[in-house]
Amino acid sequence: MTSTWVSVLASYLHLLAVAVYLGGSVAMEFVLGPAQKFIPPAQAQVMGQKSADRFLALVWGSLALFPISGMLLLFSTSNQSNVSGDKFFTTTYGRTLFGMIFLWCVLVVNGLIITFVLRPRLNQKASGKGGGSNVSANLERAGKAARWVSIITRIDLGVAVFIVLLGASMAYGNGLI
Amino acid sequence: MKVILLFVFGMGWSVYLGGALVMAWVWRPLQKGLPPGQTGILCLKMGRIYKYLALASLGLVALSWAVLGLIDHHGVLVGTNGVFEVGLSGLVRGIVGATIWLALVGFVLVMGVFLHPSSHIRAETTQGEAGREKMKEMRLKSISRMNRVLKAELATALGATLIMAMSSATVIPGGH
Repeated sequence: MTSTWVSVLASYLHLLAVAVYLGGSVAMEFVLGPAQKFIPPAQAQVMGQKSADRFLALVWGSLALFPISGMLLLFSTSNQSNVSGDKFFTTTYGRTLFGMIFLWCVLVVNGLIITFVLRPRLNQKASGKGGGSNVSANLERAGKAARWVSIITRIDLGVAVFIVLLGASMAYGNGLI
Repeated sequence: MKVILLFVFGMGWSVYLGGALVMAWVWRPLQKGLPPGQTGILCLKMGRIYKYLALASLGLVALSWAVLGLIDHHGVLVGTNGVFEVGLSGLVRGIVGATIWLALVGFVLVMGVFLHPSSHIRAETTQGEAGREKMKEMRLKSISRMNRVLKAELATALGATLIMAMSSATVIPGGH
């Protein structure tokens, strides 16, 4: 009975994490993003920064929840034997799980690039740090960074959609890969 | 086919719930730091897009859930092995699911059709001071009602997610 409730909790957290990551990204990209065009650029930038800061907290929270709730699910439903030893690579179920873990790593790496490489460059634009001749260089760097953030965010969305497909295949069958 | 339907269900639910959480966790607190005029514009534009996004994703949820229920009486969404299923007939589970879905659609429509537009009404120049005060009062009332409905919507959606988890609804490995 305890393992049933652990699996319910794990499933709940897993669903929440997926919703926050995937649905949140869709809302940020297709609801908040387009609306920013209707206010002055400076204000839009401040808004973009603040909303991204808050959303990144949600993103990292859900990225941390994926492996924790996933492991809990695997063990509470006694499915660990399906991925033990070489089954991780030789069975469809194991390979699908491996694919999900690999794609999760892709999301983490992309998250790290956005948080620690691209976001600081965008913030530099907001503060105008450097002044004088550096301002235009900063603006150019920030413009590039914004474009990369947008590209990476869309890649992440595609990856997350594929992870949901893999998850559905594991829930309703033996996997996909 | 069943995997695709479950995928559509998962996508629809994720987009809906994630969108509602972003509106509550990211957008609402952000409003306080913006000038009122710009908040109004953003609110109007986002409200319109969000309304259609939420209704479309809830539509996908209903469609995939209904088809899954029709083609598979023992599947994960309407299965018999989850905690929620124990002691409940298929009809009761269907009624619970449909009630929750209708409530969520109702929340989105109440906000999108009634409360959101009335939180943006402006007084005509001919209405005078009293008219302007009345409009302002109506706007504030609508905003406060909208906040309450949003909270109720979120609580219902989170409760529904718990039921899905109890029904071993989506991603329990091998939970078929």
